[in-house]
Amino acid sequence: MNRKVIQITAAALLFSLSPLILADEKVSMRANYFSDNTGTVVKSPAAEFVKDLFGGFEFGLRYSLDRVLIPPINSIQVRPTDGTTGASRPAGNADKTYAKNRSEIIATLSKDSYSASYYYSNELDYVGRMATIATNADFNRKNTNIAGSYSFGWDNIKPTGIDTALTKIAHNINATLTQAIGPKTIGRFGVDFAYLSGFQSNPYRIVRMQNVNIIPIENHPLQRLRGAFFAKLNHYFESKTALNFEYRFYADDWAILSNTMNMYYYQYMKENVLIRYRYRYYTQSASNFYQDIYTGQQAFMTGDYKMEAFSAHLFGLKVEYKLKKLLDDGFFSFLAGSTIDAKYERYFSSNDFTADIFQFGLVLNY
Amino acid sequence: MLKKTIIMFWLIFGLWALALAPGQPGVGSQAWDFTLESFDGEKVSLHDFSGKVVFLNFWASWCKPCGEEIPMLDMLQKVYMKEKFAVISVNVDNNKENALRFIEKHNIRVRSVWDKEKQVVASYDVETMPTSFILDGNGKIRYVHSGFKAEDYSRYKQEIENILGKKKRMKTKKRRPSRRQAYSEKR
Amino acid sequence: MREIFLLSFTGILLIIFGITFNGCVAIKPYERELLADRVMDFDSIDEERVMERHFLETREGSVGGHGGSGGGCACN
Repeated sequence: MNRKVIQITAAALLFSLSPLILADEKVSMRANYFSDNTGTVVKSPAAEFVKDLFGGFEFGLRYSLDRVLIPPINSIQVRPTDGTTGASRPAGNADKTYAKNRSEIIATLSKDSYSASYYYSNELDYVGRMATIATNADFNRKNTNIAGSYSFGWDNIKPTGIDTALTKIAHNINATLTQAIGPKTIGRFGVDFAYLSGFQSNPYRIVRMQNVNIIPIENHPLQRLRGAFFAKLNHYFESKTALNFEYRFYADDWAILSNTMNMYYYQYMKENVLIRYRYRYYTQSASNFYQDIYTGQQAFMTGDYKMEAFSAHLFGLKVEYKLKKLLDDGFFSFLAGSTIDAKYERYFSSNDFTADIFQFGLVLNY
Repeated sequence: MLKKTIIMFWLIFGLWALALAPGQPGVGSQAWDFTLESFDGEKVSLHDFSGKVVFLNFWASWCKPCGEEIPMLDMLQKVYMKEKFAVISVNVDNNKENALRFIEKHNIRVRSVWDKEKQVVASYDVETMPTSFILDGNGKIRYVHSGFKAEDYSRYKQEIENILGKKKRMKTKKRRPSRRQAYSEKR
Repeated sequence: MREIFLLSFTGILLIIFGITFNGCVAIKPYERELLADRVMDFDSIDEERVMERHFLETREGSVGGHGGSGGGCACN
């Protein structure tokens, strides 16, 4: 784990010192620490860099590693927990902590208003891939921007201890409108649609049955149509503060409806210190095949907590410091504008789940 | 019904007309004169530079491409130091301190003025940040540049030399008259 | 399904509204100083969101609602 962190950091720094450095470039490193009340711990270092290439192209690369530790399963009737990254645990060695690495890489190439990206993630039993193309256009003297993207995803699932190879295909489209409403106000509105077909269950998760002698593995439908509408509004106040408000409505054909409200309040304390307060509220309905305990076998059954009705709150605080004074003079002055940040967030839901998230970041701007 | 349709048509047309670019001075038109205060405290007027090729640039400290362009204007000033050429950079920051900090940080030497009320930038109706106008010695706009990319620098030089080239005097060597010529003139 | 159709309709309507009535809003490029501030940029916390998405999409039944592009100083 430490070797991987060192490798990621070294690669990021090496790339950042490349003689190809031009304007508008960035190297950032983040470290995420997650722990929840089920005992799951996830440590995620990540590095990202953006570089201008010749011919007006811009290249971005992001690498992250999730080290997931899932606690022992106490009883076969208790739902196995998932790692924060979706990493699931097999049932074998249930009395031991299960450790898993998941790595993810995203490469993006863009020029003017077109971009293409490729996503690849890999863990022991799951390989995920996605290719995306996106474009955008400005209207009304750049007061209006319309963006669209299409993604195609194809995943391969090879559950541990199960001699079956499974696949999942996903099509995603997005359309977004960004509109400057005033010199201090800007809005963004959009829709997302996704169509998934293939394996969408957890191959290790069991379903809770009234008859404890029957222990089926969950079985979700093979098709899913998902859609979301979102609206965002940012407003800047005279007192060097800003409020960002987001709302999302989601619906799918498994009958899950959800509402999400997210608020960020920014405050400049000094010229180079920025504080951000955050509150998020989420509520969803249950899927049409969800039951807490099944009385008998059904075509579709789930043991997934994501399928039940619940609500959740998230509170957070982030502090960001601009490395201005340290970098204004001398050799490192070209890094002026770089920042370090630290954040803490607390998540808790009505289905008795709580989590603490810590994140540290270093962003070097050229 | 027809009356309502006509009113709706003109309403929608009017809204579209608002979206169209109004009067940015174009190539060939006369640049509008202005007087602004520089960051050194002196009054700077465009008509003071009559007879010179002027590179008029609108910029802001919060605009990244502007920050990339400004040091190149310094270079242009140095390259054409001996020519009848001047750079005027007009800053449109809300806060003068931000502009001053930027000028000090990048050691900017070109003449910079502050358009506090944003009246000059409004009269030139710039469509994007940064925007540059290259004026000839008579104050006529010869070239307009919206935005900035690194490769624009060589284009700027070419355009400035195009204008300067017409104003350059043809320098010829003064020849001594031949003996026969001098003798015939004497006679 | 009805909700999905409603979503589609609302989204398309908004986009048409945005294009058709954009003549009402004309913020000049030199008036965008505050819009260019990082705290007003929708995409400035994208890296943070990528990590957050890992967590939220394994705890909650919803995805999407992020979008991209546009805003900021609209320079160049």
